Amino acid sequence: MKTNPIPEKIALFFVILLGLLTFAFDILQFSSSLDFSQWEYLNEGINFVILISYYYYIRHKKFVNQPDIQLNLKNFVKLLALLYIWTLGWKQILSPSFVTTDFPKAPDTIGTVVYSNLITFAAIVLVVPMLLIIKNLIFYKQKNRTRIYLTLALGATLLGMLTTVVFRQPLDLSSDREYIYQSLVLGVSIVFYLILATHNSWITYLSRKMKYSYFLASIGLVWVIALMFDVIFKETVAAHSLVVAAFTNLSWYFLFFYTLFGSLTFLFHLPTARVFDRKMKEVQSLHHLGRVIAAEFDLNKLVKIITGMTKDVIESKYTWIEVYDDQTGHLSVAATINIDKRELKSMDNHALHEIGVRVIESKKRFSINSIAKSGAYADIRAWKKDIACIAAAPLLGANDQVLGILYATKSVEFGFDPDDLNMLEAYANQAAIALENVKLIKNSLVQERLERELQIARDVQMRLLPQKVPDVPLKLETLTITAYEVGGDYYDFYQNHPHHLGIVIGDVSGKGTSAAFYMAETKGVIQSLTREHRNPVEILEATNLILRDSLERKSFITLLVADIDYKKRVLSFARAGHCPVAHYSRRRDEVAFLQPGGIAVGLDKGPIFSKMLELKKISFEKDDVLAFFTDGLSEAMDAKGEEFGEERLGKIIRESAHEDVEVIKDNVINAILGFLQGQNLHDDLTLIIVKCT
Amino acid sequence: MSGFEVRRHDNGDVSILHLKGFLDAHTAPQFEHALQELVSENRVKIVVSMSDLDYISSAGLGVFMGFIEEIREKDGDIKLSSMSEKVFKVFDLLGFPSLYEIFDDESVALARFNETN
Repeated sequence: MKTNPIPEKIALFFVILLGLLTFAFDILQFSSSLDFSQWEYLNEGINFVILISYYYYIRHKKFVNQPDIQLNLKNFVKLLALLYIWTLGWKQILSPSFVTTDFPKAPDTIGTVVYSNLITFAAIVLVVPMLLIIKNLIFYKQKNRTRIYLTLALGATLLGMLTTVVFRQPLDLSSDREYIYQSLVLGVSIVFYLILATHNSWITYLSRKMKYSYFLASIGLVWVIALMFDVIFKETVAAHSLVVAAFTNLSWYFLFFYTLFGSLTFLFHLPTARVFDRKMKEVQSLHHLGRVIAAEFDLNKLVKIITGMTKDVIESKYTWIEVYDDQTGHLSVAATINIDKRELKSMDNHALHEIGVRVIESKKRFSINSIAKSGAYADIRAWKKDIACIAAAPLLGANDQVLGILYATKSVEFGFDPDDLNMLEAYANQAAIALENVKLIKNSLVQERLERELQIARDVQMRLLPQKVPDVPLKLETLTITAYEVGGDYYDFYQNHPHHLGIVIGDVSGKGTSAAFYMAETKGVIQSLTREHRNPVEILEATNLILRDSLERKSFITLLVADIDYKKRVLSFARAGHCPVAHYSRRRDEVAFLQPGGIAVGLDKGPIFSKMLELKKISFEKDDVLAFFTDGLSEAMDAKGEEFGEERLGKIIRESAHEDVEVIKDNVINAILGFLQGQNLHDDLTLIIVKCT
Repeated sequence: MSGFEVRRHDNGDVSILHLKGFLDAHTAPQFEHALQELVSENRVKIVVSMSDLDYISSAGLGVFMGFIEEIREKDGDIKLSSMSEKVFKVFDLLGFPSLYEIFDDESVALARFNETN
């Protein structure tokens, strides 16, 4: 707390100066029997100022501002001891005696005067910090009215100090009419003290051990405090100052009630101390576990932490966790405490196995609180003598599936109370959450890797496609739209022979990296073959022979190889399982889909492939349109599951055949987009449009 | 995409697999699993009935290719039956009719197996 040292020092200076002043006057008064009128009131005023100044001086000191309960209690006892030592010490030295007259009693000897001053000094110096310490305890758990009660109690105390000075009567509870005001003030003060005395929630949070030892200590403390007023303050302080006397008297009431209530509270907390201790431990460990789970993604470490915590809280002898192995699908021991993992793994215990089956089937915890040496579960006892009771709880995942089992044993019979079982279940639940978390993280990492691979595949695929259309006396347009996931469309042009344009279009089955890989291979094979060969049938046969062995069994490639002789205006092509060629004849004004026989590359080793493969040859005229495409176009699907189909494609080509080739392409794109109406393509789509010149 | 379902029905030493719905890259593993099960039980005379199959993609077709060699080596076969016109078009385009026997009706396919017995 930030303090300003200068006024505090001034306050301390005032305390000493005024203290000496009142002391001097007491001595003077005693020895000369002088009687200054009004001095009494001035004396009380000065003492009040001393009290307030001292409070001002000490309130920010570290000593009275400890947040720690134990330290506060220790300091309190220290102050109390000091007060007793101081008092008894001076009593021995000065052996005070008082004239037995009315209130306040007058000192009989000069030593008594000194004594009463010394005790008053101690009362101020030691009781104020004692009260401040109790205030710390009260505010350990502040409620919304705590401050109000404190203020009221303080107000009542100040009132008591004032009335004592005014009436010059002791603060006693008396039925005598004469003392009615004092009794009233004291009564009201006590009510507020009692209320404050119940503010001792700090006791609740002490450990069981502390509760026991503090209770014993508190019995002595109550007794010591009960004696405090009579032994220390009673006549002595009053002889010097009524204000301080009233202050000590009321403080004594308050301290007495507070310690008495504290002692009783300790007593009442004793029976529940163990349970409370346990609950605190549970809350702490679950809290800790929650944090660990959020930060730890190593499965092995997690199960170790979980078994460790289970052992700590339910105080089990052996603790282990079994988790389903993803690879084998069997339960296997993942972590153990106090028992060897290998021993558990190799052990073939029928009874233990039965417990596991029971937990898995019922999806509920299971426990045996007393394992008899003979009987149903004697197997377990035969295996380990110090297993007298056993409990198991399932690790239930989000979909109520069993992910594993958490086991705990104790060496005493009836060792598991309902709390233990609840905790075991709680730990099993936490463990299940942790396991699922770990799996989710793992899956999302795998997912991320796949996405990255897919992106690479897409990049490769795009780079394999021709970056520009060849420079030939034909009008050419190409269109490629890749679907999100599936990819395998491929096309290429080659010009190895004069007046000839080679076109190849294909679709590799499969997706992602493997499709990209096969595409690259196909591109290489066909590029080299077209250097030697021009006949599409020969090219396809050779391709099938080469690729057949490198393709996965369930993969195949549809290919269409075309050779356009643009000088003679002849198209010859062969189709290995690929979509047909659309040919719009300007003269006939109709679209024909040319589908010669042929099976996909990779389906057959050779004989059937060659047998089925047909070469188709047509001649075309100026302004005829040829369209090569993949099934991504013909099979583009709308929301209702209807396919775009060849018919629609043919219709658009026929309707826009008189336009430029770019316009034809745009019309096809628009038609497809209109057809899809926001649906995603589920396959790559490729289109090559050739307008003959 | 809509769901997919394989139902198995054993008839003597012939097993019939009824395919329903969409057979694509996502659902192909289900079909693969069903065929794998038959092969591991050494039931290699298989009729795949496709009366309720709405769509088949290249991944779906690939499943047939993945098993046919092994099944034929074990003197078995996969015969296809009852496909819709749309599905047949896909098979036809790829040239499957030259590799697999395709029947209009499941019972004819069954009879064909029994014939060769």
